[in-house]
Formats: sequence, structure tokens, C-alpha cells
Amino acid sequence: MTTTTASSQAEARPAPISRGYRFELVKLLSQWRIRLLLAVCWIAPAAFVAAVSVQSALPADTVFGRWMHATGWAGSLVVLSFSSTWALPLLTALVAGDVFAVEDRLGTWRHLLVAVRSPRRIFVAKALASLTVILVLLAGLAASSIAGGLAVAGNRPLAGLDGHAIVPADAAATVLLAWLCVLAPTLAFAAVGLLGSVALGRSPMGLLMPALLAFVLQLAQLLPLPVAVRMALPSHAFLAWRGLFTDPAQAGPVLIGLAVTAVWAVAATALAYRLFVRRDFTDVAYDGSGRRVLTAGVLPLAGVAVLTVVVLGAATPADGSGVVRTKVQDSLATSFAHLYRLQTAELHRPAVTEAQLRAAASCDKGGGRVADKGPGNDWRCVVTWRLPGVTSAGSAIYQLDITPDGRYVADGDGPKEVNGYFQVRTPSGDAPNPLWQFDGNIDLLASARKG
Amino acid sequence: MSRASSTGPACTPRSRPGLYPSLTARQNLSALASLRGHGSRHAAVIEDALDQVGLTDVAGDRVRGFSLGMRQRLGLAAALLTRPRLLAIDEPANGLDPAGTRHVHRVLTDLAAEGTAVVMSSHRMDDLAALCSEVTILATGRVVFSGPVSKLAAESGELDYRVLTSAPETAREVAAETPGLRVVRDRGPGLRPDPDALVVRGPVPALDELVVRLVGAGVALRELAPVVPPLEAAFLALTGTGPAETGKTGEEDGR
Repeated sequence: MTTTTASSQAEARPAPISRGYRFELVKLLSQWRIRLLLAVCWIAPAAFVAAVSVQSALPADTVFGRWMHATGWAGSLVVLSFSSTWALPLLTALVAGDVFAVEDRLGTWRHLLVAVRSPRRIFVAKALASLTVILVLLAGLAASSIAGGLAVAGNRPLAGLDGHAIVPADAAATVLLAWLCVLAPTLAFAAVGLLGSVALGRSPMGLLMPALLAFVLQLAQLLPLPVAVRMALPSHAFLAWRGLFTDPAQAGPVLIGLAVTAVWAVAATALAYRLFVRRDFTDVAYDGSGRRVLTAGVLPLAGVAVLTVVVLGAATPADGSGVVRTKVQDSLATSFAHLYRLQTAELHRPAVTEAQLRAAASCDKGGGRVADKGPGNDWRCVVTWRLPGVTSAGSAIYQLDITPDGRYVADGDGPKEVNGYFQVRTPSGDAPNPLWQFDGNIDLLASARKG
Repeated sequence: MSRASSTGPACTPRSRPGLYPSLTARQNLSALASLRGHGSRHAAVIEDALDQVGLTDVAGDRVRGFSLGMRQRLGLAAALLTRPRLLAIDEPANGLDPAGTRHVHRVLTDLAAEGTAVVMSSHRMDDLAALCSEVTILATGRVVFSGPVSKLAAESGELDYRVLTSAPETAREVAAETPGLRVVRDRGPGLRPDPDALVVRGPVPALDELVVRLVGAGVALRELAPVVPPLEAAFLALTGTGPAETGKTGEEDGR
């Protein structure tokens, strides 16, 4: 049965956005899928962090994973790392990727249009409602993981990605800032989800758009791309927060990530809006815009990507992969010095300062045959340092595995009294020697010092 | 009202009254009322609309579990929220059980009594006969009749009547002797044969005469009714389709 009515009140004014927004929220929150996501996002991170923090084996392959026993703040960052890779693109896909398509599936467009009387307002209400739900999901991930970590591992100082100790108050601020930093790429993926949902209608491909994009970008990030291309990928902002945990903070990649993802979010939303207001709602068998998806969705976004690459290529000082010998040496020496101080304190030896240590590193990649630049697991470094009152310099060997995104794992290769595996006593219980294996992060954008 | 097409998948969304299955009946209506700007008084309007279509008991249930008939009624309730001056309605009794049909009919008659113009399209002649004051019949896209229902019934000419009596054989003889009345052997294709029923054709005065004669002959009259309802007969006559083709005729438009 179809009913059409002519109202006696003769109101032609569109419904206020606040009412449309409330209606969209009610619709979203009435779906069991969204309720389940909310429950998972607010409970699962706490449970995960709590469970992992009491285990002996820690997720050392994730950034900050090896610090989960030492401080509660590390747990939240492990969850953040994991979310950035998969959870956030999937969450946006499930929320924003379906917010328009659901009306196609239910065949409710005409009724919604008659009730609201403005496609523009429908778009704004739907975009705002899905944004709200995504924000609540993200807040859940952050709050839950922080709560779980603090409850189990405690509010203790966190070692940054250059080994420097971050006092709890600063750690709290930096962790919150890191979560805020992934908000921008999340919004960019949400906008892509909106675009997919508008463009592809009932087809499940719309729902998959953000997840598909995330997958493609993940693959791209595994490649040794030039640094300008890497920074132009919207998914790089999901990793850039790592730079906040060095001293001084690597702000360049973070700011570029924010700018790039803001451009993506605005562009994808604008494209979705344009497709939506131009749609012919009288065609009840509408099944997506077909070829226009390519011309009005994919191509413009590809254009945005190319444009950002060109702009960043011209604006950034670094070239190539951004991983060069001097940067690796500086980063490793800094980390070593910070962590040496930590080890000294844990072994109850006389305290030293970084200035006294004068740590320096000398790195080589793949022996004499290979140029000393670019990511790889064949970096080998010798760190030297001095102690007050000792004439000869100490030296230690590290094997470095540097990934294309600038993160590296340094693995101690002797002498074993310095960087071998042994347990030390820490305020949070026995822990492996901090100089044995540690994570670091190279600022890909920083200009290389000649050396 | 216009139809986009009478075949193909376009029919499916058309039969849905635009409801959200994950929301309750009351939430569906309250969202619509809010979007249409009915303000604070909409709670009472919603309860009233639910009551009119007989869905008050299930107002808190999700529409997902509703039968087709319940959805139809909820769709009608949604239309009532606007207090319409004109209501265009397509197949209002589609998928409804007799009780539901009554509810919908009562709502429509009440609306009409309050001054709302109701335009409905239906292929159900009994709906039209029960509800409409004026009908328009369309056959292959052309108007073949437009006017009051009473005038339409007259268009059909002589009708076949089914006569059930206590003594079929005697009745058949009496009917054969009644002037102006013919006994029809064949009840027409598509109708179940009934050996006890007598089918006669003739004007109303001849039927009156038949009843008088039957009673005079000591035969008890149990039923006397048109074989085909008058509206349907008129429709068949006007569209030039035989009873066998009833199923594939065009569409009717009642007013």
C-alpha cells in the first residue's frame, strides 16, 4: 500500500536539521550491529589490555608492546596501534559506509524525502549522526584501553620511542593527543565511507570502500615509497602519532598527516554531497551510480592523492625513502643514551647523564656493497659511549630492523653485559634489560645532517 | 494515482509503507511527526493514530516482526498524522485479514465523514463497493466509466442470480414458467458447479414474481443473490472482458 497525503497545515519548510539528526541517531542506535560495536569498543580494549598486562609474553612486535608491564599508558598505545591498522577503517566502514545504503535496502528514500523535504539536510543529518557514532566508538577505544592499562599496570612513567622517560602527567597528555591525532584519518575514512554509501547504494561494495582503501594503503605502506608519497597517503596519519613520543616531538609528519587527511575528508564529503543531491530519487530500482562512481568518486580522490604528492614533494626537504644513515645513527645514539640511564638506575649504579655519556653510533647497511640508506633488516650499528672517570669508550653492537614507515627495532648483539638478555628489577617487577631490545622512530621528514 | 510500472521489481518497494524495521511502531510514527514539525502535541496525535488503526497493543514492538497487514495499517497511521485533506491510497486492504480490513475501512470512512477526500485505487471490487461513492474504471489506460456507484451498477444490464431453495426441481419448473425470466444452464466458466443452485437471468420485477410463485408453490427460498457482484459485473461488461479473463484486466480507480 502506498499512501500519499496532502497536509492541511500547508508547511513547505524543510524539517530542522536537529530533528533529522536525532532521527538518524535513533535509527543508527537501533541497529544491533551498532550496539554491538559500541559495546565492543567500550569493553574489549580494557579487557585486552588487562589480559595482556598480566601475561609474561608481551606483544613486542607492536610499538610500546614491550612496556605494557611497566606502565598503564603503554596498553592504550598498543590498542591505538592495533586500531590504526584495522579497527578504525573497519569501524568507519560499518557506520558511515552504511548510513545511506540502509535507506536503499529498506526502500525508504521517498518517505524520508517527503518527511524532511530537503536532500541537503538529510545529507548533513546523516553525516553528523555517523560522525557522532564514530566519535563515541573512538572515545570508547581510548577510554577503555586507558582505564584497563591504569587499573592493571598502574600510572607510571612511560619510556618514549627515543627512550626518554615521560612522567605520568605528560604521558597522559601525550596519549590523549595521540588518540586525537588518529581522529583526523578516521574522519577521512568515514568520508570515504559516506561516498561509498552514497555512490554504490544497496551494493555491499559501498560498505567495503573504507576497508578496501585501508587495505590498499596498507599494502602501499609496505613498499619502500619515496617519503613525499608516503606522507601523502591518508593512512600515514594513523602512524604519525608515534612521533609525539620522542623528544623533541617529530611534529612534521603529524601536521602533514592532519592536513592530508583533512583534505581527504573534505574532498570525499564534498563528492558524496554532490552525488547525493544530484541523485534521482524517483527511480526506485536505483542500484548505485554505476560508472559515475568512477568519474565522480574514484578519479577525483586519485587526483587529490596526486596533488598532495606533488605539493609534498615540492615542500619537504627529505628525498628518497627518508631513512638515511645520519638519522639512524642520531636516533639510535639518543635512544641508547636515554635507556642506558634507565638501565643504570635499575641496576643501582651511580647515575650518569646523557651529556656525560656522549653516546654516538656508527651504522652500516648490508656491508660494503649496499648504499647506507633505506629500510631493511640488515642495518648493523656500533654504539660508543663514555663514562665519567673511565678513559676508554664502551661499545656495543646493535642489529636494526627498519620498516619503511621509519619505525625500527634495535636488537642488542653484544657485549651481553650491556645489551644481552637478562632480568633487571624494576618498580613494576622483573623486566628484560632495557638495552636488550628497544623500539625507535626515525623522523622521515627531517633533513639529513651531512656526516 | 499513477503507477510507474505494473511489472518488475518496482512493485516491491512500492508495497512498503516506508517503515524502519529496527524501530518500534511508535518510534516510526514519532520520528515522522517530529520531522514534519508537529511539535510538542505529537504524542497524543500518535496515540490517536495508533488507536484508529488498532495497533495500540503492539506500538512498542519493533516493526521487523510485523505482518504485511500490520505494516499496511501502520503506514495508514503515518498518513493520518498529517491530518490530511486529501489521501491517495493504493490497495488499502492488500494483505489484510478480515479484521484488519474492517479497521482500515472504518478509518477511511471516518476520514471521509470528516471531510477528507480519499482517492483509492484497488482491484478489489468489494472494497470499492463498501467504501466508494464514485468510481472511475480504467481499461488499458483509458477511462471507460466515471460516476457514482449506483449508476455503475445500472450499466451492467440484466444480471445472473443464484437461487437456492428447499426443492430445486420444483423451483426450476416454476422459474421456467415465470415470464421475463430465463433459466441459465451454465453458471459460467471459472465458477464451481453447484447442482442444488438454480441460475436465472432477468429484470428485478421478474425476480419478484419468481419469489411470489415459489412461495405459492410451497417452496422455501433460502438464498437469492447475484452470481457476480454488480460492480464486478459492470466492470466486466465495461471493459469487454469475459469472466474468464478477470485476472488480467487493467486497473480500477475508485473515488
